[in-house]
Amino acid sequence: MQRFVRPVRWACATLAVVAAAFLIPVHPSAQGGSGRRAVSAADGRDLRAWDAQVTRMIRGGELRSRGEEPDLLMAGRSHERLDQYHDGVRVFGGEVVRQTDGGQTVSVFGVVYTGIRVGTDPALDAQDAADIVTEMTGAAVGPGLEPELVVVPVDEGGYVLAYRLRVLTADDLAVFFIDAATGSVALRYSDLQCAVGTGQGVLNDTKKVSTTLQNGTHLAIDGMRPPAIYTYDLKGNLSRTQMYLNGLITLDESDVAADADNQWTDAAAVDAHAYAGWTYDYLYKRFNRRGLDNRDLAMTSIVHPVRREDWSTAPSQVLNLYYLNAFYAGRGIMVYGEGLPPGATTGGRQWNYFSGAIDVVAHELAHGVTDYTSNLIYRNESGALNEALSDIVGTSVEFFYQQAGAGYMKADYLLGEDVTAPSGAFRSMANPQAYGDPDHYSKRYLGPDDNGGVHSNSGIANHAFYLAVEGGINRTSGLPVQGVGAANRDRIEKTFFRAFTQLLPANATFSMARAATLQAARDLYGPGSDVERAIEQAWAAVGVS
Amino acid sequence: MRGQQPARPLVGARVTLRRAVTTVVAAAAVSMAGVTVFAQAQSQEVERPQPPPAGQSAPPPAKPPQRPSARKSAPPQAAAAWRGRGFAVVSAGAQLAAPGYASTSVYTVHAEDATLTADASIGIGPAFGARGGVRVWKNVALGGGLEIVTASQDLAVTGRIPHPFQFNQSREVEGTADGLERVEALVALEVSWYVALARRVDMFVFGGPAYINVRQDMATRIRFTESYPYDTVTFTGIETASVSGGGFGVTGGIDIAFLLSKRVGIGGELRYSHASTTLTPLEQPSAVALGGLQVALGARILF
Repeated sequence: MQRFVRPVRWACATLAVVAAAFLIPVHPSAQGGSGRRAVSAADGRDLRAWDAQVTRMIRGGELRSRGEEPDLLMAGRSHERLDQYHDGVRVFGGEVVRQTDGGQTVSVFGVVYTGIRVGTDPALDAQDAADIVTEMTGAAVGPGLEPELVVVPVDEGGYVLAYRLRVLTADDLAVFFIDAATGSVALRYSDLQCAVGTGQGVLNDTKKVSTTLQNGTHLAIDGMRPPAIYTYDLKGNLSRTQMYLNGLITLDESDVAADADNQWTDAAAVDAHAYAGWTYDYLYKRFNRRGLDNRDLAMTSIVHPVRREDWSTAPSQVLNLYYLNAFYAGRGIMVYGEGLPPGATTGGRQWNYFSGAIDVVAHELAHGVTDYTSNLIYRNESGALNEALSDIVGTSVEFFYQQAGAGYMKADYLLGEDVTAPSGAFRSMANPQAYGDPDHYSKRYLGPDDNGGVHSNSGIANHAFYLAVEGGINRTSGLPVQGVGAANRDRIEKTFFRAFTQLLPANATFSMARAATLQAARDLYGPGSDVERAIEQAWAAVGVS
Repeated sequence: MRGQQPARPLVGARVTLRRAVTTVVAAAAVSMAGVTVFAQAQSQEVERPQPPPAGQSAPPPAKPPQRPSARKSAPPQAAAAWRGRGFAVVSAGAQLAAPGYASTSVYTVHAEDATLTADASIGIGPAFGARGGVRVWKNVALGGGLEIVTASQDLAVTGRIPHPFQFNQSREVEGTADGLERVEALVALEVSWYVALARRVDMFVFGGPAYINVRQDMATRIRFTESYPYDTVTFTGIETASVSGGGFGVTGGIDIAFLLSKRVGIGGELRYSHASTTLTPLEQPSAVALGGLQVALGARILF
């Protein structure tokens, strides 16, 4: 009989242990080892055990309350967020959220890290970490971005004492964890959260805006295209604008144009941001080019460099540059003039935000392309060719996205017509003489102004481009040109773009431009093509041989 | 013509069980996991032709068989009359065919309306059912039926995903999603007409109004991947929502049973049901046809 009793007892004991293992929740404090513990307790023993454990951890300083907020949907309920700490240093990602109802715990969710054995005395200080990030990214870290000492769980397992720092780099909003002992990068990830919003442009058209969500605010940072595209709102701070352009300061997240609900109302920012992206797309789709440097250089637009209401007291240089102009400032940076307040005029015209014209935006970005390619010297004939390429790209982008026609938001051969009223423009490629620019080489400006007339003599090459596409008769020479037709404009665009960016030297002349475009036409479409014929006739018509 | 066949009920020994029937309770509990049938017949009465003893030929009909007074004037074929009190049927089988449906979802992607159109075809799936009835007049019984059909759905999905940068430049996308769940439950009020086909073979022809409830997965959004320049998207699947609803319709079919004994048999059933409902997986309602053609085998109890 005894022999039967003992096995039964053992069996019962074993069964009890097995049952206990399945049925009885393990107390949180009984879980040893190192690793990540997910907490998800909403009822029963688990909830009571974790609630007690959280209380113990608070008493022991392992959890610290970050704050408690009332539930917005359920009266009486509140939610307390608790950060995990190790020897007084926050454990990155270690957090518990406790929901209570009248003081009674309803649920506990969170992640708690265990087995942390790293020391908390850093060998480096915060400034060392900031300097390392600056050295790696080129992004200056201001005093407002004090690196935080944290214990971070790393992907390889274990923990590292590190400085956490989030910086806006040239192409990312990056979070760095710099090892506080060695200075190496313990962990890095992108904090860009892309979104697509909409906004009203300068001409009240609705367009999509590619943005990034940060801390509940949508920023004009395009994270969906290969290059980072930033649009900064300088809020009329001219001195800050100038300091930035001169490299004296860097802009940070607070300078980025922002919108709370992603339904953008800052028309200047909307158009600058959207059109910069559209221009990148055009370059990519038409020429297989990846941005300004063909390496996805970040594109930075600056809007509101000055305050509109200050226009009447602004010095003439400031008025002409920051109100009534747009310019490429190098390093992928564009600045768009503020225009004038409604009703204000200068030269008999009203001026809107300069970013409101897609050809203006594309024109400025094309200067960036030239910078990274032929780098046409910005004076005399090479300067005029530089300007001409920007006009050609500006107009081509306009035709790429808009219907041909006359008036606002229609594709035509006028430059900047969308930001001025009544009707008018800066230049006309179809009829340069209409804006006082030469349409024939014999009429070129030879004086010293405007770097030898770069904005004027560009009309010669612009007109040649126009004639090669559309055909027509040059008003000065009377020579006719048989264009390839609007349906084939892409052929002329590719030919001119290839010649101007890849075949021409920096100190090119109109004659070289003629030869280079003909060479490009033969390379792309073969000898004797309609493209070569049209371009040859066009240059002849404008008097360039 | 059946009444002129000599071996048919007119010459058989009539078996008359107690006429009085007290209570008949039939309940069927059907679940996805199986079928359980509870049938209790406190008495039954079936007038059924009995075969002559072995080795004997049927005696010639000397005179018309004795019949209850109420049936004296019935034509010969009425000799196959069903005198039972009722029946119960449980069966398991499959839904062979069911009408598909189309659904549409409109939702926002990249700040613009994306559309999803799904053409669903319903696959073959198991069907479990129970029916019962109480004879109310001659060969006619009134009762009800329950049926649960589980089937999978295969979806052909097409859609338009807006471009992230431009309005009105949506990308076309298409794909398939298979194996979505669908469960239909039918409750019907049925009139059944009893026909004795042969000595041990009965048939019920039944039909009536039905309510069909459905709980099914429906496509709500297209899962896709995209990358610059976003001219195309790649279909990776769909998101679904479990939606339920129901509608009134009709059901009908035939049930043929082979009796193993006086009360119990096995049989097969062919049923067609139809109803329609409107389901709204997101915001756009979609008309969904319910029911289908089912075949099933199972147990028959007469009482």
